[in-house]
Amino acid sequence: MTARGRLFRGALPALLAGLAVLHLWLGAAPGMRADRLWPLLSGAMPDGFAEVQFLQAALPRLVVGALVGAALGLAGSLMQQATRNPLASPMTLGAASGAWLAMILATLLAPGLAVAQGEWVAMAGAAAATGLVLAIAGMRGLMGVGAVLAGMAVTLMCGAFASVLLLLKSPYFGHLFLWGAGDLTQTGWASAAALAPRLVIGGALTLAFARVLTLIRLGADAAEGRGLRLWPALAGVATVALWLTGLSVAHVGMIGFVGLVAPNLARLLGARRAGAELPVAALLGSGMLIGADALVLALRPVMRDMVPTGAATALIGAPALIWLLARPRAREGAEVPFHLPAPAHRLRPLALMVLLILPLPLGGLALALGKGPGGWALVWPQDLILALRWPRVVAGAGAGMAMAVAGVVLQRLVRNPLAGPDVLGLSSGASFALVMGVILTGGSIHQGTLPMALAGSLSVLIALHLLGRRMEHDPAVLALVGIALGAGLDAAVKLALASGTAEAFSIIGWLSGSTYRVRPGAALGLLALGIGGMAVALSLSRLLTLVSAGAGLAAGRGVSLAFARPGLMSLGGGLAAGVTALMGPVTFVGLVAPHLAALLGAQRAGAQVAVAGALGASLMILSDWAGRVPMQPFQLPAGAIAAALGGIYFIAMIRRGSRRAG
Amino acid sequence: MRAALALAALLTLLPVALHADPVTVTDRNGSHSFAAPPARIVVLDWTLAEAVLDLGHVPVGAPEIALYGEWVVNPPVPEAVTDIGLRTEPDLETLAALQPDVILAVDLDPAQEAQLAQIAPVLVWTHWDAGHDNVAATLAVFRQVAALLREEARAEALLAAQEARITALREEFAARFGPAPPPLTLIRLNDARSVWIYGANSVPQYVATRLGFAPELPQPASRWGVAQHPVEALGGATRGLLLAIQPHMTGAEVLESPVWQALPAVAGRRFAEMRAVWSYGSALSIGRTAEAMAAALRALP
Repeated sequence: MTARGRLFRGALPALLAGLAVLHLWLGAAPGMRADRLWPLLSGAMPDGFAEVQFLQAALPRLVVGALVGAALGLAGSLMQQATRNPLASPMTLGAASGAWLAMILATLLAPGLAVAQGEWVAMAGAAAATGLVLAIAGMRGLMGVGAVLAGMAVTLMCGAFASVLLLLKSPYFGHLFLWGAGDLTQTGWASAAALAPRLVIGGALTLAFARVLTLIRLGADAAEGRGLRLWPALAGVATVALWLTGLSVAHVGMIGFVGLVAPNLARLLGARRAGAELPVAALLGSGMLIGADALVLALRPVMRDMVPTGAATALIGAPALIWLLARPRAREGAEVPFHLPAPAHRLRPLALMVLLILPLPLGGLALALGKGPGGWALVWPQDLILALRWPRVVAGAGAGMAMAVAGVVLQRLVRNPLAGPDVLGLSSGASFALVMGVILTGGSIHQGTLPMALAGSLSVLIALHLLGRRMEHDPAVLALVGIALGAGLDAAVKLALASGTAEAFSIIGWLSGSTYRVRPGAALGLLALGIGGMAVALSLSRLLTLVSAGAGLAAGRGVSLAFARPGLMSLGGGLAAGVTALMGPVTFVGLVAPHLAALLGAQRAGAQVAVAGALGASLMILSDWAGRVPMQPFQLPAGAIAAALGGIYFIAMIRRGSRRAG
Repeated sequence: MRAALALAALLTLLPVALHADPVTVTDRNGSHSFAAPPARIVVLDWTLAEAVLDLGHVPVGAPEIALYGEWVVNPPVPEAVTDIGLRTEPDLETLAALQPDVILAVDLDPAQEAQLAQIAPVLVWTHWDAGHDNVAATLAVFRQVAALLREEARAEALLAAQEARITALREEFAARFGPAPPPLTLIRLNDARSVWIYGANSVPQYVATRLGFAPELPQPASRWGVAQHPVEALGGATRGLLLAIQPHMTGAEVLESPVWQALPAVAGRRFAEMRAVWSYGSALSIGRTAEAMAAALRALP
């Protein structure tokens, strides 16, 4: 392995040069003559547009691709070495989505700032999101899958906020779709000139940290024993990694997977020491991005619209991630770090009753409290208004209940409180099927059907089952399949959205989970799904208790996990697919409602299912009302509001946890 | 003066009062009859807002009116019109509170159509579609709206006047550019690196063709008749004229870039900006596009 690896590492510069030539050849305009290459590169005045295009578009595109690829490779390598987690990267730790949200916010509030100081705005966003992930997963959790699950949750949250902003300001932000998808197109040397000196500084800083990283690899105690002050060192590493992330997001948008795959590939090729991994990861990052972009350039003549580079890296990166997963070393440190704080006391029967019927008064309030022509009014609506309101309230309640029950089932099954149908990719599977349907058939996203969504979720379930069997039902596998699928969905959505047309906005709206289009029949269907799911889960409460107690205990009580696992997984997946098909993906409710239920004292499986279901319904009723009424006539999707509320809950939880610890 | 106005108003109203027979219109669902032209109209789309306003009526509700003012501009929406929210998800309760006699929409999905039908009769036309001629559709929808408002004569007069103007403009540019006018590329700026190029099945390209200009960078027909390309793709426009429809928004950044400056059309001073006009407008937006195009072309050296 090492001999082959050394050979490959030796050949890397030559490979990179070959890719660069291919990239230039594909990127040059038709009229560009090969014999003019050297005169132009040695300073001859360009003659005609093809030569200007070569000098000002094709060449800077290659340079920016190489620089950004190196920046992402370095950032990923720094993150992976500092956390000793092979799954850490700007994408998986939420940094990229934080940077993206910050750029959207800045574009909205201070367009001048976004243009002039993009890298710092993006870095601030990346730092805030990574800080949040750190606070959720904890310092130790950064070393395992917990960090990736937390990163997925923060990414979902940032995505929800970004969708709300995009929907509110639609035509102004059409251009952000392409930028968000990550594209390397250049129209001059501005980006390359800004990136080059910064990357020299970043690279130098990174290499200066090589000794620190070597010590960190020995473990915290050993490092401190050798005189390393761990916290300042880690803070320094994190700052450089976030700066490199911010730089790349500000200049080319969201490019996924390069930062995740390049360092892993570097280690696979035998670059084990910190000092060796960093430069090899940088070179591999450059190579990956240039290669993906060459694919985009090759596709250009046959596609009607531009294909964003980010879609290509996701398309290549998602399978690469699954391949990496199959290697045992990539899955070390899969212990679950995130623990729910213990409740103060067990739930009293009266409190239980109140919680269980909570959706009824809330639903009534959501139906009655509205803004009429005369301002705020709390009156039972007349028939027409009632007919407009009730399907949305009922749909929200049913969807919330179904997702909450799915969340309890999956969190207990995977034995990780950060698992949810959205984090595990079950919703993504259904969404992926529906969005691909739109791309392939050219129809409307609102005409997606239940069989399509079920087929999508079912494929994910089968993939999870097959991979899970091979990898001993490692929670890491479930989480990463979720991320890989999420990225696949992202690539498909980017292809559909980069066109920025009206369909793009309707897909964004649908992806945010809106009750707007739910018809009475579908609303009742969602309610039936929620109640039915809850009934099935309640009848399986003994199984849920045993499953969450661990495989050994379950086997001791005569429960065969070989049947229980796929069965429970199908229950969770079926509920998520049903909600996605009838209304659109609903994120966060499946994560938050089970936590809240446990926090309030509903610790036993049956009680948790019932209370979480009621809380999920209440949360969605509230979110739907908040998206529907206060900003009338503007409507925001309930799913996006629920995700935003989920984010606030996360921050509150972390504060609570840190107070307890302190 | 006041008496004259009153008389004018009476004369306008008189024909309406004299009509006893119902109006009949056809949408994608078939034929619909109304006892009289509906007075309270809500439009769910800027195209239809244009159509109703062009025919001299004022809708009671329209979506995203502030943005309309920047992207569509003409005809202006009077202050009295209520904003019903997003074009994709208009607020149904605001809509119901307006107590409309009819709701006009294009390309609705069936679920939304059923919801709206609870509030008032809904007329839905298939308007933007890759499989048909969008220009023919915009004319057909305009005539249906005119039939609904019993403004057929006015509609035909407006369309005839528009045809006459287009013919006049065509002659003006034939005189200026001779028997073989240069080809034309119509774009909208997107961001610092990419543009939209109008192609087959788009209103701007139709208008350019009517004025005598063939497209230099033909794009395949699609639902919206546009395709997104990197700026450097405009390098393929080596001989012809280049017009960018406003508003530019963030796309203005591209105007400073070296690649833009080196484009044959820009370096050759064959580039001009076109004042804002909605590319997905109603029938009379054909004429507005033609006038905006003509103004931009006259500004070329």
